[in-house]
Amino acid sequence: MTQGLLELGEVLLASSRRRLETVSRNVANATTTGYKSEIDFEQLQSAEASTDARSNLDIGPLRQTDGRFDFAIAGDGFFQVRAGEQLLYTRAGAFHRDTEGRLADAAGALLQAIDGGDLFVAADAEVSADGVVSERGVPIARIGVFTPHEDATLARVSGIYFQTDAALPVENAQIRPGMLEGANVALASEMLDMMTAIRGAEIGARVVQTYDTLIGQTISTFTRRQG
Amino acid sequence: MNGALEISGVGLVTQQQALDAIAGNIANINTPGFKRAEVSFSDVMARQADPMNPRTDLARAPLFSSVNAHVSIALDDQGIIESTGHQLDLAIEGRGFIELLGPRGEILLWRGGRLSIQEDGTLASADGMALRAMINVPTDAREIAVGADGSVRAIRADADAPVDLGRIGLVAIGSADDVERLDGGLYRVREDARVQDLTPDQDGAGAFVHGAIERSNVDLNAEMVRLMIVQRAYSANAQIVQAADQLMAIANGLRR
Repeated sequence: MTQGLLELGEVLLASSRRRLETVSRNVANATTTGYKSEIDFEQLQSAEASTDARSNLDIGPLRQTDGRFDFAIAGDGFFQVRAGEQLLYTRAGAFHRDTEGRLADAAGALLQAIDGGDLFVAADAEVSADGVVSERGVPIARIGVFTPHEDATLARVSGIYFQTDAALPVENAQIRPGMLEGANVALASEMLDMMTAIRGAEIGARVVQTYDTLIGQTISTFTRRQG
Repeated sequence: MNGALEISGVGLVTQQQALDAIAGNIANINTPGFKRAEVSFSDVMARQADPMNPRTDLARAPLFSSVNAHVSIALDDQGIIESTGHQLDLAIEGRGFIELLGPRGEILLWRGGRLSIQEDGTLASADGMALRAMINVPTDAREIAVGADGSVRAIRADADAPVDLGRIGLVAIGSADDVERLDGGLYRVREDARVQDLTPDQDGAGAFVHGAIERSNVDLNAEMVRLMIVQRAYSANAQIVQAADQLMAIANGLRR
């Protein structure tokens, strides 16, 4: 029995540490464009399983930036970006024109058009709400907005990038040029999680100490009997 | 090792960078031609899953710790053109830059401001850097005019008709990441980037506005709102640092 008590204490301490790490990642990214907060796995075991149990995919607040190549998606879907050979999905829409005229994000991943391929734009290109990129009034490409196929999984690659095996273009996707989607981190609930983690660790420590006291008493009792 | 302590430590550093940018913007709200700095964060810290195996347990995946507080300059955002009536003030309406010759002969980019005439008659910026167009103003010039296309004319003391002195050109850069900011509204082009000569009929090439100055594009309201958001994010990170410390204290206190 006492062995189980020690293990329980250890589990409580370890899960508190993990929970605080999750909170710390969410809080550190509270101002990261397009960041999707992480949900602690233990919290989800009773809740309904979503496409990816570890990400909260709620839409973050959209804010005006007036950046020429800043885009937010109003509604569902993800931008498709190419990082090397890999296609990733993200709602972080802060792009800039790189030296070759492609639209790249801060990490250098390249925005993809709806029919595939990197988006090459002129410095004065205009983007309309349906994602059509025009140069001097002439439409040249359309920004792709994709959603994972209903049978496909959406895996979290990082806080802003996701990966899926099958993605479909979203019909009538709405893009808001000059806006960005903020992180969907709710600071208040993160602070609550932080306090829960500390209290959990305190309980774990108390359990371990109780075990230690019990063992100590056992040892000293037997020692006294022998003497 | 305590991951939470490390992650929130990085969070504090990035929020500090954002705070520095905001402070710089507010300090320069009255600097002519100043373009505000914008900070965007991309993935301060996250677990990186193995792309080959999307079902890896994220809690055990290695920590992906790139601090990406990307500071960019809002060069495309035009400041308000304010008429000053001073004949050596020059502003640009559009996305172009004036080329200046720096102290070591390098090319610097300038968004305009107050011009000065050097002792040898060369037209220069207020701090004495000659325009690359190398325009020579005669000593007896009593009036200088700059046209929207950059042509410089002067009226000499003994004449009524203006004389052509030359033309100031405009150049454009590919993106705001191609330049780094120097003091006094000057920008230096990065080594791998190129500037493109603009012709006046080109889209967005810009026009000169004589006798005017471009105000900074800093919006105090927006900066104050950002300041508050950054401050909240900073203190939340500080709370996590404290909580991580508390967890370590609990672990330390296990053995009494």
